[in-house]
Amino acid sequence: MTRLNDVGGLTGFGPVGDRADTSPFEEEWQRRICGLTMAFQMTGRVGEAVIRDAVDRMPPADYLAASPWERWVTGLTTILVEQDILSSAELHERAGAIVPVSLPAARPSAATDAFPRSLPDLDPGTEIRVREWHPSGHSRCPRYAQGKRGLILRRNATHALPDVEVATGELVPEHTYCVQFTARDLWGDGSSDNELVHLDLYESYLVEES
Amino acid sequence: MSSHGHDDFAPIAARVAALETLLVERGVIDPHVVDAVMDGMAASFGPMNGARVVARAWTDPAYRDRLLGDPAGALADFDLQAGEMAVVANTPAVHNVVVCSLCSCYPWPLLGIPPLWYKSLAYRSSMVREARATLREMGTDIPADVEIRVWDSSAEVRYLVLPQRPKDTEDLDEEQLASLVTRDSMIGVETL
Repeated sequence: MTRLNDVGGLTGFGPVGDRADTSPFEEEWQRRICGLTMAFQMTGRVGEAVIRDAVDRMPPADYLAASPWERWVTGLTTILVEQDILSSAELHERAGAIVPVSLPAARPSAATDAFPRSLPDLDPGTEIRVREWHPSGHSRCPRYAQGKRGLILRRNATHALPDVEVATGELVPEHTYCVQFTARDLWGDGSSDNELVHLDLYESYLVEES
Repeated sequence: MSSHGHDDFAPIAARVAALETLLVERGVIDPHVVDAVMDGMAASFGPMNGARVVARAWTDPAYRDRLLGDPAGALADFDLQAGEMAVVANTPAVHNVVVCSLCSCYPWPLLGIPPLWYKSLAYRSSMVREARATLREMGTDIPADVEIRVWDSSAEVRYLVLPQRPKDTEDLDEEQLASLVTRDSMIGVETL
């Protein structure tokens, strides 16, 4: 049920683009959607989790076909239409053709309904396992880490758990933990040697390893 | 299933113009706010900020310790705020590299707006899977005996790589050192 934005470990996207190209923008509309999204965020109507969710809900084929800045356009459009600030019809009229929006949110997975879950404080060096539930709603727990064993490196500050914020609007602060995985933990026999991967995972995503 | 395909969509510039003009007409945003936001970021965000911090860490061991132990406090010395930060130091035995596999999280105040390749599906998908091979493909060879630590920015912490100080730079002052620090070295996709 994972959304297509969760691309860690997929293959086939070709080589990484030219590093020498340092400009974040190729065209003026890209600069404008960047500023527009930030300006809208500054009005206090929306948090970053909701913006990310709106992008993640793009139809898979459109997500793949879109450039990164085009995803921002669809993300902001989706929020404005869903919050009844603008309508698809007036956007269509103004832009002269279809202005696409993302798909409606799927019902969150049953497991997400049980969030937040609290654990005792985990000390650095504690072995944990990442919960495996393959959420259909917004989440920040990549598929490639689900069910894997890792090591707590650090406890971070608290932030609203994005899964719940997006599903219900409720802000539930929770610690994230920096968790270290060996490449072998994550990728098994196909892993590269001498590589570690770290994720900052919300407490609700973790299970104590007995 | 949607009955419309990508080809039926309004041109992207027209879509953005429609969003901006309608939001201004409705009074949701001020007419000049987009330019104000972008000009403000252009003036205050960018890799020059990260470079100053790195150069200070290279020349002042006490600052380096603070930067690694209390990044927010150390950044405040330069009037920099970048939210919840972690700074990870390269050594002869360890190379660090930053990615965001789920979207494109990045320390904007310290490095500016991310380059397009950082947001590409190719970078996001492969750096967590085979970092050394991806770095080699990007022109950076990390020897097999050097441990690679990938930091996938999946929550609110943003990462800055503290590169190793280049050789033969003992005579340079902090400002000269800062001019040697590249954005890509602070993401971890190149060494200096």
